[in-house]
Amino acid sequence: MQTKGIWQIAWQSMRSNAAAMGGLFMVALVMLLGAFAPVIAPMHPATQVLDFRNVPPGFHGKVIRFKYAPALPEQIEAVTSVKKTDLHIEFVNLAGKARTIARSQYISEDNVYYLLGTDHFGRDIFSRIVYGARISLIVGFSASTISMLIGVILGAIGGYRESFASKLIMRFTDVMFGFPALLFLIGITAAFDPSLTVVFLAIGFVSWPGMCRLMRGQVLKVREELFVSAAKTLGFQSQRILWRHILPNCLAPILVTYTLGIAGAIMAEASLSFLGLGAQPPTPSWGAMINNGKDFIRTAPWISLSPGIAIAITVLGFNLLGDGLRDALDPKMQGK
Amino acid sequence: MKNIILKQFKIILLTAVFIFVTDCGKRDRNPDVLRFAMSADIRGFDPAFATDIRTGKMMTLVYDNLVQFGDNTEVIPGIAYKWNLDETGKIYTFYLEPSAAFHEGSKVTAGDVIFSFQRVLSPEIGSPQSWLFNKIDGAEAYMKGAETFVRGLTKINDSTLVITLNEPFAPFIQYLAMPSASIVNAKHEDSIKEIPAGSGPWILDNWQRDAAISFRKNDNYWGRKPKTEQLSFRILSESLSRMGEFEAGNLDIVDIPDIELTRWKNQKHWDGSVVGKDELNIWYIGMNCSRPPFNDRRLRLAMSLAIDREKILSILLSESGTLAEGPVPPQLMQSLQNDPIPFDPEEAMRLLKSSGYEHGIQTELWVAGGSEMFHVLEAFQYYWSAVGISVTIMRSDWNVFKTAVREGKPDLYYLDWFADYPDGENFLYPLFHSKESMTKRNRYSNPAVDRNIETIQRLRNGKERNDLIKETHRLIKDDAPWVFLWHGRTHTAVHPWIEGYKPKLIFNAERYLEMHHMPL
Repeated sequence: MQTKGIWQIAWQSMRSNAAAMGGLFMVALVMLLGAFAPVIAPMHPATQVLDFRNVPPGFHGKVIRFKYAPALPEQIEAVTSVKKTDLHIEFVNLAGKARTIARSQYISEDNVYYLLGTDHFGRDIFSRIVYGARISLIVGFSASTISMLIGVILGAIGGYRESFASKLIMRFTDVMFGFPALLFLIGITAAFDPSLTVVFLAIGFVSWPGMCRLMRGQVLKVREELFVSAAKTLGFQSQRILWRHILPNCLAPILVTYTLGIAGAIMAEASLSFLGLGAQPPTPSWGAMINNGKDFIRTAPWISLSPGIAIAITVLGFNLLGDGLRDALDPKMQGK
Repeated sequence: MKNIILKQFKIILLTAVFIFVTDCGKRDRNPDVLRFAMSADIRGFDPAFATDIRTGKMMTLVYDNLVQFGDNTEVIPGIAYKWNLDETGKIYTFYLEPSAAFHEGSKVTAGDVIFSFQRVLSPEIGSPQSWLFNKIDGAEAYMKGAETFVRGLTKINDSTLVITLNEPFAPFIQYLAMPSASIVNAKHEDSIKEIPAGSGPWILDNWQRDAAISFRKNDNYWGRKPKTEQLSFRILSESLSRMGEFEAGNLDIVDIPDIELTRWKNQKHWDGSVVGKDELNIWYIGMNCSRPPFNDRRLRLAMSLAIDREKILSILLSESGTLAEGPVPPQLMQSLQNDPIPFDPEEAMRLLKSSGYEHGIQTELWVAGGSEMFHVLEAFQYYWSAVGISVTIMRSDWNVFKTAVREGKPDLYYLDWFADYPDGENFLYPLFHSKESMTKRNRYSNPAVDRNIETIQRLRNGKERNDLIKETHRLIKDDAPWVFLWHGRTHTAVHPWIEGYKPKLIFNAERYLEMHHMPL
């Protein structure tokens, strides 16, 4: 009989956990949306059709698509009628004004469907949410990776051996814990020109202390194990023992914290973008979309609601997945 | 167990009744108080520092000026019941109303007027408004400290005052109606920041910082007395909360933000309650004319041609403005040319090509943080991108923004200009004369425009002056130093129980003398 490895056992445990599988499904869905955004989204996220401003979910209307020049972005305009000749296309817009474009500029005549309605610039909210998934995921993974790298390295050094350096590291971690995270983030992002890079770097550099403490705790525990003593007896160097023997045995809790960290980072990005400190217009960040809709909350609530739900699903997905992983990777939970 | 439930039910019932009763109390409006809201607090009651519109509006309630603005462009008597200007166009004689008195009872004399004007010029006070009076003879010497009084301000007797200017300057009489030309009581100058020392129709009752300001009627006012007893201004920074308070009946009158306008226009319930009013202002995008790429007129014009201002105005701003043809609002020129720069992206692309930018340009548009109508910028950005002009929007703090514009740092910036006084000159000299533009604004300079503006400042009101304003307006429009966007139109919602509301052309003409509640 073949013995099962820890990952196999964990996977089996996960599969029987409905909540965890739900989380995995939500995360997979958002990832697919992000990965195939250009295929899924019916429009470019920045395309404005002012005539279809603030229209509710389910609206559809007649449009013409054209480009002023091949290298320039596609234009979409709401029309009531289109007349084609060999050289020109003449169309009448909703204000009743006729405009003529060259045949070469014309792309297609279309009936667009707005699944989730439009925002105050007549941009398709569904397309923006699909593209916005990319931003949330990029920020979530990058920020959580940065915080993991910092946290794991500092935590391992802090836990492996009692020294001045390790004490210094842990006191520094305490200091970092003392700052209110969001305030600290606002401070950092406000100091630079707002951009997505600044946002995920800032989130990464602010959120590592949790990972660091966790890692230290794990290292403190694992370094007393027999196999570590064995490795020491064999004369291995500390470096090797730490990274090759101790670290792999701490992987499970790191993975859980990493997954939960993604959820936290996505929330932090949304908060910063809501405050105008994150991605700049017309980037379709979910937080910024909520902010854009706040003035229209009484007249067009779907503008804020849709990205709000998108954030909720994504964050919930990562949280459920993280919780599921914790249960699955915890040997004490086996069989329960 | 049953007892507990009953007890809890009683508590809930009592609370509900309490809320209902207190809420009813609120709705029971007091017919003696007119209730307004403002978006932010004022700077104080010192006229020498009244540079913003909100503060200026308050000044006009508690202070008097020599002259004041009427409902439209006219200047009407204030403390001075009559005045005349001699043939040289330099010497004004003002005759003061003998019954005019400050709030504490003492008479307003020519000496008080001189004190008030010298105060604004005084280097110790350091008022940013000294430009109002620097055309008075001897003002420069006084400001430098070379003389202890201003030569051109002469008191003939307590009720006669002569003001002598260096040179003829037509807008001067309108300067005198501005908030910073208010007449202050020398005896109460020390506390002027907190307590107004004026003679106006209203007396400050209470000022809670960042919360509320209230005024009571000046029963001894020398002029026409207000028809209501009290004014209350609450400071509510969010436009939606202002609208909510109005709908709940806790405000009598409110300005409708453009994002809410469609909803208000479409609701039958508010028919007849919404009053539109054209304002003396302009929103624009300034382009730095002194360096590439916008030193090329063709490119500047392309920036205007590429955007459909008419559509943006009608859809994004719900018609809360009129399309600007050039800098001067139509009300200040006798006739309208009705020839705005059209939306023509093809022409914009031709101009880009002919000025050597056929592969497009990349630039930054600066805007101050809390700027009104900020949301339209993303629409501009989109229209420009369609013809190959890639614009990044740079949001910054107001002070950073102001300094950057002054130093000529941004290629493009989004800003507005509100009239200080209702005259076309106010939209020409401070914005387009090279002396101002080269040092403070978008570095525009055209000697013909400069010459015209200087002549306009000397000429007296009349056809010749008006024609010259129109001609200068056209010259500037052709040079396209700005993307001229629109002149604002405010929509105000007024409850049906309010009588006597009449929109005024300029902000500090409103003194709330006529407005009052209908009798209950």
